[in-house]
Amino acid sequence: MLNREEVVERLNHLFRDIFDDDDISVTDATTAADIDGWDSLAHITLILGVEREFRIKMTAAEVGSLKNVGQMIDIITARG
Amino acid sequence: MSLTSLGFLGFAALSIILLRILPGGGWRQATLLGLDAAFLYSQTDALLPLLPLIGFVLLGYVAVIAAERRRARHGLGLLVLGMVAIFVWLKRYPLVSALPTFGFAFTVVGLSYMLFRILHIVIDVGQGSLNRPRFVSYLNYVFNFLCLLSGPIARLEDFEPQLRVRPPLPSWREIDAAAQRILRGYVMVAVLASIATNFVNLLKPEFSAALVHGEVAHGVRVYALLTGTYLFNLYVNFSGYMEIVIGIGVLAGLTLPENFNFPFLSKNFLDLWSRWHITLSNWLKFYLFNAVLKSLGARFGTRSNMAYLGAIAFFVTFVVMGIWHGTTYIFFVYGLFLGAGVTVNRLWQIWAPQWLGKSGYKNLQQRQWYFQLSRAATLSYLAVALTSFWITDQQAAALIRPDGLAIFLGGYVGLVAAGTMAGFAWDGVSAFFRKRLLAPWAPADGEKGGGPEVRRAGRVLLISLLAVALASMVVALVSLDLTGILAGSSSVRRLAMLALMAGACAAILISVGRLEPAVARWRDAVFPRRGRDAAAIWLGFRALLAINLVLLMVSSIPEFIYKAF
Repeated sequence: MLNREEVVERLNHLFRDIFDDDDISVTDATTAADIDGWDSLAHITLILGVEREFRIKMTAAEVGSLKNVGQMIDIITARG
Repeated sequence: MSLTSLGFLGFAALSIILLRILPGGGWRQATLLGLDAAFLYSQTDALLPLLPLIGFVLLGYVAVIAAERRRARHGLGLLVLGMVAIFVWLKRYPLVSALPTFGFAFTVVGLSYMLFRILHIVIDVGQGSLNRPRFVSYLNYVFNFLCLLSGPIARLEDFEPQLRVRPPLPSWREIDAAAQRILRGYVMVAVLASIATNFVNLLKPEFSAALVHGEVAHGVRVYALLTGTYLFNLYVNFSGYMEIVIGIGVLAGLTLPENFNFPFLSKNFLDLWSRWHITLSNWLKFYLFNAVLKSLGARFGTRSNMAYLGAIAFFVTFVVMGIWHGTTYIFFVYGLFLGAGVTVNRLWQIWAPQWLGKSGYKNLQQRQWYFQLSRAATLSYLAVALTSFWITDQQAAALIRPDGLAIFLGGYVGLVAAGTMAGFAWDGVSAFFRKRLLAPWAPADGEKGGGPEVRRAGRVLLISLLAVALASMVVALVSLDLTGILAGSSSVRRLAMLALMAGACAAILISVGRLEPAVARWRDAVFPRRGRDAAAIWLGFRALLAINLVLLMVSSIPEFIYKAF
């Protein structure tokens, strides 16, 4: 079981890499609206990155209905 | 039964009363099942033609159980493929039309929506995101009478709790809002859509003649008008239907998802699909676009090519969306056309920032003319793509000849130009409405009621009523002798006439929208304390509108307009 701080740390790396912005620092409440360029395409790039980074598989419903980064962390900590 | 029949109004009233009186749990499920069955039966008035449809849904539940039993990946894919194959067979797609079906005629009403609901459950149960619903919940979800004819495609996790538990009674404010939506829906479907339908029917032979005789200049004008009117018609029909079923849903305690979010404000082609038929777009995003892009990205994805893989995934999604809409080859063309549109849109989004720089592109997007132009280009593209919904094979063959192509392209360009100008005009008029007529209503702090407030509110009410009366008169007068007016006059006059009609329809739409809040403001201003008098006035106004509506439906004004044409 991963702890949340560690997950956030690794997610920050991933986000900064994908969105090409070193100032990104995600929290539970971060949503797609908060990050420039997080559209339907970047969303899948991100999901692929998360799946690779944490060696998990997300379901169609999870990929489609993620509301914020907090939910993403929940899935990762529950599964990773 | 049709939504605009008196029978449906009675049925809806009965549903609301039953669902509000009876308790939750088994009673509610059984009531819903009965209502669903009655509504389904009313589509055919016989049991036999419904059997294949019912069989399909029962098989769907078997697939759900199978998906639950073994959560292996390949098994799930096969279940999805199996359901799609049966769907394709029942819908008699040309590819499989040689296969025999049944020895009797059967209906496929709502089947496309049912397929997507069932696949959503099969996939989510199979992947472990959803618990298998009880059989009765499954039936009530897939067959729900409010969503049977044209959606929306709700998600089971949102819908299912309402099937079991009777929600608390809505407040008066919510009831009022729901009543407004239902009324607005009926105005859209029963009045505006029938006017637009008659326009479409009037223009179709003109278009056909221009196409056959190769009259390009005339053809371009007719085609632009025809496609534009068709889009308007589809919008008022479909979103009017949504207003009605969502409104009834609120009263009956079944919350349905929104399906439209001001599609006429779309900034671009991608934006349009988050505003038009939203529940379908979401379904496709969940189960097709995301899945295709994920598997492409996992195999071939690199930093630089993801944008292009995205364009491919969009293209595939839109082709499937086209084929889902209808069985003939023309819907495949529709899908290709939409796919091409979204690809061009994507490529522009990739290339424009490279050419103009990120800030240059951002600046461009801020420009008013850029918004108006891209909005018009987007909506016109949809309007032209919708040609697939009404064109005959003969016309389609003529349309790909040089003359036809000239009409097609010219029509699109003309529509974009007209749309851009109309966009500027519309925004100007509505800004005027907002600033001059509505802004004074926002009461200053501490100001309650009072003389000037009443006069202002009364003035707007009067203007709205006059606008409705005037516009209705214009529509009625022109409708009565439209054939005569169009027959002998020059093309400029005809265009002016049609523009007048379109303007009058728009005025009715705006005014009806304004009328309700206008009455509310006036009432609040005259009776700030909301006493019994205020309630009486309010009820009186509602009753008047409702009586009008019933009269409208009984007197078959749509048919009358049709004959007048």
